[in-house]
Parts: sequence; C-alpha cells; structure tokens
Amino acid sequence: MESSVTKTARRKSPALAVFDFLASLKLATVLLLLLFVLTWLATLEQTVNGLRPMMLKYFNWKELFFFPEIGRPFNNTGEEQKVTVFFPMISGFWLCALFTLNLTLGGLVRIRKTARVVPVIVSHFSIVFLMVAAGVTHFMEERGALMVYEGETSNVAQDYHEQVIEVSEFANGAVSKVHLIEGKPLTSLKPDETRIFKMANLPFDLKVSNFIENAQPMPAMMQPPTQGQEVVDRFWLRDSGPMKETELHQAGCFVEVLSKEGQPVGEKIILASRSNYPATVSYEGRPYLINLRKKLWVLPFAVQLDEFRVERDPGTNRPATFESDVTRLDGGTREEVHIKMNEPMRREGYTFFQTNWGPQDEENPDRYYSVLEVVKNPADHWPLASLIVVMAGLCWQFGASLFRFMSKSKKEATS
Amino acid sequence: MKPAALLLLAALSLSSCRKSGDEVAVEETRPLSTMDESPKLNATSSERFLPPDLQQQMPEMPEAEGNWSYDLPAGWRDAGPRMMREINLAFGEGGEAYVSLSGGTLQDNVDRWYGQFGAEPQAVETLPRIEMLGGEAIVIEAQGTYSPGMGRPAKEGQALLGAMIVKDGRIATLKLTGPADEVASQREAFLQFAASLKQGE
Repeated sequence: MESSVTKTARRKSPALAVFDFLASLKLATVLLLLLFVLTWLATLEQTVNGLRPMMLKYFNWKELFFFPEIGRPFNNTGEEQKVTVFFPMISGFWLCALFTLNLTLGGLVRIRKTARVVPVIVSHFSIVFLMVAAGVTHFMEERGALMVYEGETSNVAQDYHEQVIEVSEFANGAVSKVHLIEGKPLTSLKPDETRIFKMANLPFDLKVSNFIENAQPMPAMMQPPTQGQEVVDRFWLRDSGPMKETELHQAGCFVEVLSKEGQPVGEKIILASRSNYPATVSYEGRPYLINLRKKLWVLPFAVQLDEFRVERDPGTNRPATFESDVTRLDGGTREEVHIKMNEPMRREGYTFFQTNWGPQDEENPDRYYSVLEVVKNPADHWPLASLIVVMAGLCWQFGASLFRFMSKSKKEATS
Repeated sequence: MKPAALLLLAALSLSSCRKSGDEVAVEETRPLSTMDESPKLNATSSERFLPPDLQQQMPEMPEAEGNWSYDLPAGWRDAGPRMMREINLAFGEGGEAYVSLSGGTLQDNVDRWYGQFGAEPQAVETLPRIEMLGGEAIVIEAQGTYSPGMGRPAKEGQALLGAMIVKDGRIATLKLTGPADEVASQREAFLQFAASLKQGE
C-alpha cells in the first residue's frame, strides 16, 4: 500500500510535467545560454550582412530555426567572406518568447509568495514587462525621417525601408487623391516576375515587372546596358545589389498601364526611388502621377524649421553639436520647441530625434536642412518604467538582506 | 508527444511558406501631405533620373549610336530626329517607318508589338524571316486598333509591318505603322529598305 502511494505521488500528470518543465530553472539556464550564443552569432553576422537583415533573420517569428552566417576575415583576397555555420540556431523570437513564459511561470506563478520574496517577484515582473515591451516594439514600432529646410514646413515622415508605388489623381491642377501599392507585394516580386495590381478606384490597372530592391536608373547613351537589360526611353535599371545599410536601398521597376480589360495602353515606364520627379501618364485625357518611393506617413501635425545651428570642433569640419528650433503647427496651435541630440520632442505618440542635417559639404550654406528621426512606438517608455521597477526591486531585496545581516550580527554581538 | 512535436514542426514549416498571387487588389489610399504640393507634371526621363548638370549634357549627345546607311524607297521621306529612333522616316499621309534599338529579348519585343494591336502573341520560332543587317530578321504583322502608348491616343484601322533582329546584344527593329491600306502598299518598299539597311559602314 505504501509503495503504491509513493508511485502515484511520483507520477505527475502530463500537464503538470509540462508546467514544471516550462517553469524550471534548468530551462531558464539553457535559454540564457542559447541567448548568449545567439547574441554572439548575431554580432558576427551583423558585420557581413548588416544590422537590419541580421535582425530580420534572427528574430523572424515565422521560422523556428536558421543557419547563421559569419565573416571569415583572412582569405586570399583579403576580403571578408561569408561562411554558413551549419548549426540550426533557434529563432531569437521563440527563445525570447519561451524565456518570457519561463520567467512568468517560474518567477511569478510558481514562486512561493511570502513577504521576503516580494522584491524578487517585483524584479521578475519588471523583466517580463521589459520582454513584452521588446515584443511590442518588434511588431509595432515605426521609424522614418522627416527632412525640412529652414523656413519650410513638413507634415510627413518617410519610412527607412518600405518601398511603395503611389498613383496620384488630379483635380483643379492639384493632387486630389493618392492611391497606394504597399511594399510587401512589390518586394516579394523577383526580377523575372510580373504582378498586376488591380486598382479598385482608378480607371486603369498597373503591371509591375523587373522589380529590383536596390536599383540605379542609367542613361543608356552614357553607360549602355551591360547584360542586355531592357532600355526604356533611353534609360535602363542597374541592379546595385544588396547593401549592409538596407535603409540606403532605392528600388526600381518597370510599370505598364493596363486597361480594365488587361490591354496595355502605353509604353513601359521606369520607376525608381532615385527620381527627382514622378512619371506622368495620361489616361482618358486625365493626367496621373506614378511614383516609386519610400512609404510616407502623414503626421497629425506639421513641423516648421525656424533655424538650424551646427557647432564644429575647433579647426575641423566635424560637428560638435547640432540642433533645430522648430514650431509645431497643429491646427491653430503653435508651439515652439528646441530639439537637439538626446533631447527629442515627444508629442501625440511620436518622438522626434535630431539625427542628421545638411548640406554638409558646404561650410556656410545659404540654407540648412534638418533631418529628424520620427519614431512611433506604443512601448516607447516601457523599458524605462521596467528598469526603474527592477532597480527598486533589487534595492529592496539587497537592502532587506543587508538589514537582516546587520540585525543578526548585532544580536550575536550582544548575546 | 512525438506526433505532437512533428505536427508543431510541420505547422511552423508551413507558416514559413510565402504565397504570392499574380494579381493584387489595391484599395488603399493615403492622406495628402506637404510633399504633394506643387508636383511637377510631364517630367522627362532625363529630368526624373539625372542631376541638372547631366541633364544639360543629354541633348548634346547624338541620338543615333552608329552610322546607318540605307536606300530610301520611293515615296518615303525623312521625318527629322526623334528620341529613341536611330532612323525616322514617313510615308503616305499617316505612315511612319523607323529603326530603333532596344533591350530585352526578341520574344519580349514581339509580345509588346502584338500587344499594341491587342493581338495574340506568337512565338518567335513561328514567324517568317527576311534579310536585314546581315542576318535573318523575324517579320511581325498585325492589323487593328493601334495603341502606341506614351500618352498618345489609340487609332483604329491601322497596321504594323516590322522586322527585328539581335545585333550586338541588342534588338534592332524596323517598324512601319500607319493606315492599313498605306502599310499594305509599302510591303515591297519595306523589303527593299530592310535589305539595304547597314550600320557602321
């Protein structure tokens, strides 16, 4: 009888076994070690593939594992060579998700709840909160740049990566409506594929082909095509290849206007993000502008650049500090704001950081422009809150331990 | 546990696949912004893609890339230089004949020409051939409504008589278009012109 009771006590239900495994310290240790390896490999891969491609690969929630690539610095030509590590590294996204679950179950649910461990629970909670903030940032953060010249106003930021096609309609000589083809169905196109975009609210459709993620339109008369590339109106698209700094990519493609019956109604047009102006097409006597560019986000208010200042290190052209005086225009409201490095403007869920300026090749230009990085992230302040809470929890924990130690020593001394 | 793990793996692998259709419906618009003010209409490709200093150089460059020679058929006349055309001629009241160089493949260009007449595309291998530029050029013929593109209106009752050949990695084309009866009357002139056409001599 006694032995059967012991056996029953030892045999856990499968659900409890899974819970114990997910909440275990062993799993936490393994996950932290794997996160350490992931960070190390990510640092190595970043040098060969660039920061953003590495982040997209290492924290891709759609894949369970991947094969890292690192650079081999010493080869015959002296160039860095890409080497694939045939070790299936678990996706950082799933490692972080599992670690968050482990910390929640082990450090918040299963932990014995006594007064003494309250600071430990608080610290665990704040780390879980930090991981959640990272998840929200991963899925919801948007970053772009707002460029504005002194004396001018802008209410639009341009995404760093997403390339879109815009078709603008006209009424009374001004743009009246802008139709948007999002980036995903464009970037998923290979150079030899075509895709038809059925424009629901326009009298024509668009056929996109030869989409190149980083392209340069070349004048055929100055530089003829090198590999038989198609020339359209004296220009062709050169594939500039991927860059480590993917925010510098400027796409290019061919576009044909199709009737609703699918018949081409014009010659091919080259679209390129590296364009000074959009292409104009005429359909049924009405003009339309077609533009390939980085996606624009229209802000709920406008920013006017009143003055830009740059201070340089003595005797050099190197900027020591640079700052912008701007006026925020929101309907009838005007607000003067000073933006400088590490002192951003935070308004209505958007944060404006002073990030760049120009023209930088002239010492005293007639007019400066300022580039403000615009960030929209619902979890903007969550890491700060999390760190304050974890600091409070740890101070509480260490303070209580110190107090107990000192009380014990005093007691021992008096006895 | 093993089947469950396999199922999980299969589900994750499937979710990694990407599906892409050939057609995408677009309904999205974006609000107007300060960047939509004062747009430039009808910018040329040079204005769109070149910095101002290079734009000034473009018109100075010769339109033709090589020395072309040919026997001008009776009734044909020089129509003056035109962008993207190596030789630009006219005949009759509304016919034009021109030689140009383009990229892509023969089939791409054949498809484009047939597409301008709303005709079914045909394989290059099935097309008749004539002598042109020292080789065998394919001949393309179509009739109907001609949509030349580049904002020009479509015209009914038109015809196409053209030839194409790969020359030095590019596609050399001879294209006659115009009212169907005028193009039909120029068949002999077209063959004579194609046979006489030479480059670089």
